[in-house]
Amino acid sequence: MKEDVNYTRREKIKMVKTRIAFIALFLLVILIPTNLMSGVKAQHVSVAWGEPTTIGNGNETAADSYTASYITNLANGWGDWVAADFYGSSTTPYNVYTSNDLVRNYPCYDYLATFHVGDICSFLPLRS
Amino acid sequence: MIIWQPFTLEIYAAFYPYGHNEIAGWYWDDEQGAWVPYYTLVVDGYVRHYAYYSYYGYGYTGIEDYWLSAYTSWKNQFTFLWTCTEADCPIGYCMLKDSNGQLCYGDYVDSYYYFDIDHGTGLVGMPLAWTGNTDMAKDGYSSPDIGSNFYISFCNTSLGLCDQAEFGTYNYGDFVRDFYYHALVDHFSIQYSLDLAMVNCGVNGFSNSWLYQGYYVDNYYCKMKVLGNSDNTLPYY
Repeated sequence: MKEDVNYTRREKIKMVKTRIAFIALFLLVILIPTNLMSGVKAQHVSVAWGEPTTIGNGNETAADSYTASYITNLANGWGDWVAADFYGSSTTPYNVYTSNDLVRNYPCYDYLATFHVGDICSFLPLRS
Repeated sequence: MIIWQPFTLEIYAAFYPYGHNEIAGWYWDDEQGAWVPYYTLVVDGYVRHYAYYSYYGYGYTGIEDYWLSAYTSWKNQFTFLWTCTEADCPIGYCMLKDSNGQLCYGDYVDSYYYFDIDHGTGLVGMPLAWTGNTDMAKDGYSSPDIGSNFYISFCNTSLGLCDQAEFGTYNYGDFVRDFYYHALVDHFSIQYSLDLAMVNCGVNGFSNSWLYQGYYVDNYYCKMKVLGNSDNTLPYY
């Protein structure tokens, strides 16, 4: 995983804790219920992501959050879908990468649908 | 005379006013009878990749196309990014000279990815990073391919979910939620779900919507891009 900033020890510990917490959350929300309920049947995964937008006003952020939640609730109650809503502070590149990795590596998942909302129109150059 | 230049240069320059313009090449101008330079924005001297979500985290720099591509797989079959620029075409618009002799955007040729071989920075373009598919239909709504991938996002600036631009009482949040309902619960095709969601919001089908037809934000042409196979349905059982 790419990191390009020199972190203090406290920041590194916080990052590790955050990462462990996310993986635990992901497993708790999606993986464990899946295995308990579905047996060997493959599951379809829906994950919603988003960060509060800096454009518009609070209404836009509320609409983004509500939509992410709506999609997740819709998928969770339907067919062989399992879903998680990580709108908010859980939306980090590391978590997005990790969730893809988890779905890719677990054969109990056969499909990943992702919804993303609330960007700040960013573009960043690749560093050396 | 046609020259090629990434469409997003100026809008990125507007959002991130660092970097500088350098001469990227020269083209022959018939009217002037001379070679004329065209410019490209250079940031740190490297190729610019696509990224989003750069606000949170501890120094992470957003989800970047090149890094993301290492974590996706064939299971990433449905991706919906309501974000700016993530369906941009890295080699998209050609530039022409208008009647006043000024450079302007001309014909549109959409390629949603390329590989930066010259600088060795790898894959450029978020659609390919998410899907791993180099052969998606570039208008997956009107001319879907027969593959398993579906990718949707915006060229240039996206609209807000609260935006009622082309609706009366509805907004784009209503459109998105309605689309998911039809695609997931009704199990309609993605294409039909897009149409139906637009109809429910008061527009006569997705093909007649601003999202599909395109719109302007600060004089930049923007639109929603649908790549891949919209004949697909979301899995049910």
